[in-house]
Amino acid sequence: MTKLALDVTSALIRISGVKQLDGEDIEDTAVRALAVVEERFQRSEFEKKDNARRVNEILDVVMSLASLDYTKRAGFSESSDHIDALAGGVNMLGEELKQSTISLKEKEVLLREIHHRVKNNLQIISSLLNLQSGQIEDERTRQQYAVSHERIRAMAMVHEKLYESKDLSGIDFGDYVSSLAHGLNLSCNPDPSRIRLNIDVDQAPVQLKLDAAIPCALILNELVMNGFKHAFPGERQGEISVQFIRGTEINQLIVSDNGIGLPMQFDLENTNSLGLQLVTVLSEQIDAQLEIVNEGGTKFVLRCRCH
Amino acid sequence: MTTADSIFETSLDPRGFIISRVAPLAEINLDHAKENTAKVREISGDVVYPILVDIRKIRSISKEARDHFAMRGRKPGVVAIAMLVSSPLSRIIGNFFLGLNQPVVPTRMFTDRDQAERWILNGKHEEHD
Repeated sequence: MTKLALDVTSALIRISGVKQLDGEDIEDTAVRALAVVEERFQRSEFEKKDNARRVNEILDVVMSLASLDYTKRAGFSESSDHIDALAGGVNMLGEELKQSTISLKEKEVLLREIHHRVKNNLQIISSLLNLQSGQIEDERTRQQYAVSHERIRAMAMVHEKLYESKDLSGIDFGDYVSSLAHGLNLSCNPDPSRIRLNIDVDQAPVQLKLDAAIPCALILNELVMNGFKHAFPGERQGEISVQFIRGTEINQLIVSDNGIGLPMQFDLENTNSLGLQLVTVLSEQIDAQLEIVNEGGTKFVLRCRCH
Repeated sequence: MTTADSIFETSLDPRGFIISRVAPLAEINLDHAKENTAKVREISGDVVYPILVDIRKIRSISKEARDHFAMRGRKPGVVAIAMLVSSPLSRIIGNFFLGLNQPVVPTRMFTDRDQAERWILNGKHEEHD
């Protein structure tokens, strides 16, 4: 045996852990060592393939969970090794995810139902006010009832849009602006042939959360109602424009008219108009900037960061 | 059908805590969990003890059983839980009881039984948890 062959044989015997028996020829020991090493190698190859299969099975379960399919479960081997721990962990996380998803869906249904009921209740209140206003003879009081009726209707519409929304967290304010303005045109415009309403809303959706949507809705309601009520006295003709412009940071809600304009001495801070007082207070509430241009009619520009 | 008796070996340690050992390769479901709770109450009598649960050989535990052991919405039958773990699987399960399925009483995971007993017996759970 050459030195190289002897070195290889010795290394093989050492790696295999086989002991040379008394009187045994080193070549016979090498044959036994080779069998051990070969058997170990084959076992290792089998384990590699088996581990890859088990890991793939767990990955299949993970992928099913990712698509919210909870029917698959990872299996266990007899070894209670790290792969079994992974399988157990994935199975348990799947169970928790299933429960959370069910709870979330139940809550979503409940929330949708709540918004639906709030909308219905507000509509009932609004209708009651409307009915009651029919029994009032004093014109001024009747007008006040009508205004309250519109304010409540504006809020009801927010809840209606909310329960119709995809995720219940907010409404597409552009869509709301169109709906409310159209609604006010039907209910508050004294003569649509004399006062025209233009609505110009950015097509890109702007999601507004409930806490910002209600104030914005009421502001819009007041400004449009104010226009119908005061901008075109007598038989004066003209138009009211409602614009909603989406910005990267700041959105603009513009309500303008080419009517008689505000009185020269008008001061928003000291106005007696409850509607405009409401506009000021609600603008502050949502940190919006309100600009009034009293030139060639009236223009209210509300700038807010609401999203 | 397996019963809690074949899954858990539960007894009262004379030093003043319950010990419950999970059988090798046990797959625990809600029935087993409920039976174990009943057994703990039976052993405890009027006293509420801490418990040492040896889950080193556990194979799996269902979601319902985990929720049951978390004791939410029911009066706890133990004052603290020390979980004895060793295998990767038992560590994973133990961590569920420290997070997603956290029981309402102080719960801690140990790999060393002496440390677990010390935590229970010295009232450490009352101080730190």
